[in-house]
Amino acid sequence: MNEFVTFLQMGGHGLYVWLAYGIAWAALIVIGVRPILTRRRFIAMHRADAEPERTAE
Amino acid sequence: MGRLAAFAHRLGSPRWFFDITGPWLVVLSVIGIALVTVGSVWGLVFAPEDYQQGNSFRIIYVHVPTAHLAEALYLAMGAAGVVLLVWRMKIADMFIAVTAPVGMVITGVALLTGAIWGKPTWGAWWVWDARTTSVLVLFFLYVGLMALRQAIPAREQAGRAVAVLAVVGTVNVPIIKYSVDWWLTLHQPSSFSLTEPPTMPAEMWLPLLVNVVGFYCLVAAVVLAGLRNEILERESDTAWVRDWLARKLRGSEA
Amino acid sequence: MNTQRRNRLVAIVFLLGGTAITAALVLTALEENVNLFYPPERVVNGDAPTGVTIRAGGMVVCGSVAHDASGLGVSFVLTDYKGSDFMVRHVGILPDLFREGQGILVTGELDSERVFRASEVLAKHDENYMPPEMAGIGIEAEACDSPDSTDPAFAS
Repeated sequence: MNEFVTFLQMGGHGLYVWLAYGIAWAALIVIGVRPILTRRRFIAMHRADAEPERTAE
Repeated sequence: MGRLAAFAHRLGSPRWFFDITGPWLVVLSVIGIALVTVGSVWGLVFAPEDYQQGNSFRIIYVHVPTAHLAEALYLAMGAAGVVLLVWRMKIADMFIAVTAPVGMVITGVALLTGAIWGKPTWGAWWVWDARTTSVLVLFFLYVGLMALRQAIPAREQAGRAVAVLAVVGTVNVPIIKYSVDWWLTLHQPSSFSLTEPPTMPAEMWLPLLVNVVGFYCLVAAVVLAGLRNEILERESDTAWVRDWLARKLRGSEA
Repeated sequence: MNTQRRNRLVAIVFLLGGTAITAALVLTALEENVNLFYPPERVVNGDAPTGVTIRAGGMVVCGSVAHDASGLGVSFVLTDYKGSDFMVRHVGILPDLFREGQGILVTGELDSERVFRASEVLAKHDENYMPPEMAGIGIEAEACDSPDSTDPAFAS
């Protein structure tokens, strides 16, 4: 456990190191998730378009 | 030349591009996530600390990949700009539209991680030297590309205006790269070049190489996914997109 | 390639070439202002103005760092290892990387005796990284013992 705390502290530079990695990972997640949501929205939007047609059949 | 021309001709077809890139997207995402995970853990846990900077050196493993990508993405947009202006290929316009926001985020990360690295090593978050300033200019070029596209309502005109800015802006990239050699800066010169061995041992640069390749794969996947969405939206009233949608909708209900 | 495309390509080449030449001319004209700091040579030969806030840089001369007995004051000599060096006086905090043999940037004013009165001290590290055991010294050890303490980055 103590070893883990030492690892997190990074010899006093913990705040800087984790902040930098946190920003980098968060940015990757944000730019990665955005196209997934866009695609879902596109499909959902066109499903809504298609629904009334199907009920009319 | 014949084969290249044939490839370029097919690349001009958004449908063909959409059809072949589905599997690439999966492969690039999986490789990218795996490499960034391995590289980050390697850099955080197993790479040695630096004799001078201690553990703050580990920031290199996220700073260098993003800084490198920030320049590479802009060059790629400049090349796409030439293709759009000369050959009028729609896909080049889509590429610039999709890449600009991604490049802006990546450049922002490079600037922020650089500032966070600067505080414990230089003693300052920010210094206006040639390197930091030219990268800030790069950031504003990405913002400018997005703003310019918003400002012009007609899609075709907007695309061409943005392409001109993308091409002209590439002049900034060599300035960034050589700023640390041409002028006196606080930022240190590059640790890597094609002709010289790296200025650090393998146990330090190997995880960096893993993360650089990983970040490139992930960002390529993100751009590809964005391109595919852009194609769907711009071609949404064509028969092949309607067919694709019908297959998707049937598939999700089955 | 048909003529229309070739003409467009030629236009782009001229546009890009023109921008590059403009940028090169502007940056050449601005050169002195793009440099972040005065190297020791230009501090010593009088290029650096006195009495106004400027930045200067150099390597801390081994054995030159003298802390005031009373407190936070410190003085040291910066050099380019090529015969130019100047004295710096500073009261306040020093960066973690401040050591003898380290590259340093100082912000402040040159006084009439051409002693640099620094209000801020920044560390300029080089592009070499290595694990502590490879450097052959502990992290706390003085850079003056290490073999590569002749960083040429401050030569003008």
